[in-house]
Amino acid sequence: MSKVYNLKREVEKPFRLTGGHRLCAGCGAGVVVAGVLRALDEEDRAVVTNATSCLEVSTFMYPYTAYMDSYIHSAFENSAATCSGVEAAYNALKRRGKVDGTVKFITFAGDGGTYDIGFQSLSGAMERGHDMVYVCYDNEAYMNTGIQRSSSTPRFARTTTSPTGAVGKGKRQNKKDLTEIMVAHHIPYVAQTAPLGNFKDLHTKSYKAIYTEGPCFLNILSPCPRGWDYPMAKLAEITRLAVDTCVWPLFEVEEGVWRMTYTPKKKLPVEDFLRTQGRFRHMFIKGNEWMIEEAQNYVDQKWERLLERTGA
Amino acid sequence: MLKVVDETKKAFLTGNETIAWAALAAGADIMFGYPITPQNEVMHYWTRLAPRYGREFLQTEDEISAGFTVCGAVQAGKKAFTATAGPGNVLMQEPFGMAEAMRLPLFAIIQQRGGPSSGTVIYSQQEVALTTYGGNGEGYRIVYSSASHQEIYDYTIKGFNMAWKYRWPTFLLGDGYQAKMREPLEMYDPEEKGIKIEPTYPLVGLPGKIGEDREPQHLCNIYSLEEELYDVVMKLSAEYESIAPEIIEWQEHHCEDADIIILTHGIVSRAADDAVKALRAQGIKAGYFRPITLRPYPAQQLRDAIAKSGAKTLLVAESSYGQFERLTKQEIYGETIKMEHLYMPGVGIIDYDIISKVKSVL
Repeated sequence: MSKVYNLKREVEKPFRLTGGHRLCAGCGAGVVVAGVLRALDEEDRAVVTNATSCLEVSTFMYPYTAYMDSYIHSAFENSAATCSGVEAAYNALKRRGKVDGTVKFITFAGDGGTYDIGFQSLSGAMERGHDMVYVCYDNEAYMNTGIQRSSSTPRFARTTTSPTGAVGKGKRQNKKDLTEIMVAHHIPYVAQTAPLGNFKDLHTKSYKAIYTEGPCFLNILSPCPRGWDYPMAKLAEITRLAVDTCVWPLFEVEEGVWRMTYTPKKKLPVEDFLRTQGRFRHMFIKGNEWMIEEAQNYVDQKWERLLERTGA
Repeated sequence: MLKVVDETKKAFLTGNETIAWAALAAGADIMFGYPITPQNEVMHYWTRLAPRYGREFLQTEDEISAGFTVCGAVQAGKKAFTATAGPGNVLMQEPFGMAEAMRLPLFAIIQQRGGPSSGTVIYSQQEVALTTYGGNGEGYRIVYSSASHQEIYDYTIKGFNMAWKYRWPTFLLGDGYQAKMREPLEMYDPEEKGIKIEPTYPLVGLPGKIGEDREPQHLCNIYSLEEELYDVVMKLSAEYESIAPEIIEWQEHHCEDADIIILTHGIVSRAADDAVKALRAQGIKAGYFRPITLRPYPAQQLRDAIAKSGAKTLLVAESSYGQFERLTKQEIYGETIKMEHLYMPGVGIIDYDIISKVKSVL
């Protein structure tokens, strides 16, 4: 990527995730996937592997496809393994001179298919060192099956299996820090991003992940209007708030070196983010102030730690 | 403990909701689950209802763990269960197999969806082979195939009881239609109906010193020697076969003078029931036979029905490609009745389909 990032030029490129797919209006996943694929050089081809997910059922309703590239849906727990297999076969064919051109291998999976059931497959593929990018579009619950909690769901969030009521206070556990776990795999490139503003952060990180040799991992926040319970027009605003409250910091770890890629001018209170979504509504009931306080403390702790690590 | 159903009452529920209520009424302590369609609402209803009655729910990171957490909980003496479907049922075969080996009172609801693999999330009867004989073992399982919401309620309660009474993993085989459809049923307190709730008890952490106060508790799923395993499997087989007659359940009618017996299970039986009535009205002597337990299979009962009717044809209708027919054939090997089949894998079967098939083969 020699040229300076220019959104206008980027969106003039043919879309590799085309319109007409069936993702909900106000869903982050479509924006994320279109943004990642936009980072491919136009002349390069890609093989997209996709775990069972909202994305899969909405962008690939067989025999219809929203992808301009080859696409493989496998099952729920194995998208990284499937991608590994394709990449290994490609290398074998390439060695024998049977394929031309550059083919990139990109896996998309939701948080359920990444943090939970697909974790073993992801970890294995990263450790083996396949030249691939694994993209988690993280919407913090199992949206496809009816909004059940995942290990990515933040504490206190309401889901259908962590309900709120006289007893339930939403999810009891904190969100698993998958990005850090991926850093611990000592792979060439790990980044956390979000479809924000002019998408420069998303684009730059996607490009690096795609064109850095070896296994790379992107964790991309992907708000969900159904599961998070917000009006569909609020997608951009909520993404912005997630970043500016430091609920979802933007950073990258390149060859083990941590770097903050965005520091909010003014770190907003977590409350501003929570208030926008129905899944946190119970936190604002009188008597539940402690929940907001604990959520804030948790974010602060993690933010401080990240500041130390990145030296920002 | 707060009573779940005070007095017998009519309800209008989905099958998944029925399971949650029946599990509460049966005294289930905890559900372990992992999202998969079409069983999700079992978890949703359970998580909403369970706190009212002091019961628990835990969602795991995949189906393998959901199955094994049930294995752990029942060893601790808790009445635990899970629910799954399709690819989830595939992943759960390992814990189900361990439950067979260790004689764990595991209870699982299987809401069949279309396959192979992710298939459809809608409906099928394609998990018959997997649920009855899945895993690397001999199929020491009790499998009920329900046909109505009343049966879902009845057999969920019974499923827990059978699991704890006999200590074989026990299954309720439903499907996407039964899971999502809403239907009237009668909810009741099992003990008020005279149904004895089997007591639960811990299998591990028992009081007393091993060797002095009590014998060690052997819960084993691995053996070192061929002969050792041989003895275990022979013993398990003998025990399973000896209790099978107490467990087997079936339904039949109009078989006494039938020329053709229609053999179905699960929700397809309802189409068969209607088809038999319609065919009889048209002067065609059709009979109805339905195994309620697919494992153990009512083999002798089916043989008897064939013998007493003198029927020339046995028509197997199923929403799968021969899984149920293969199960039947191995059970009634040696019968000379002509077998016909209506395979509609992953597709619902209505009375008309069966009537047409009967007319085409008679």
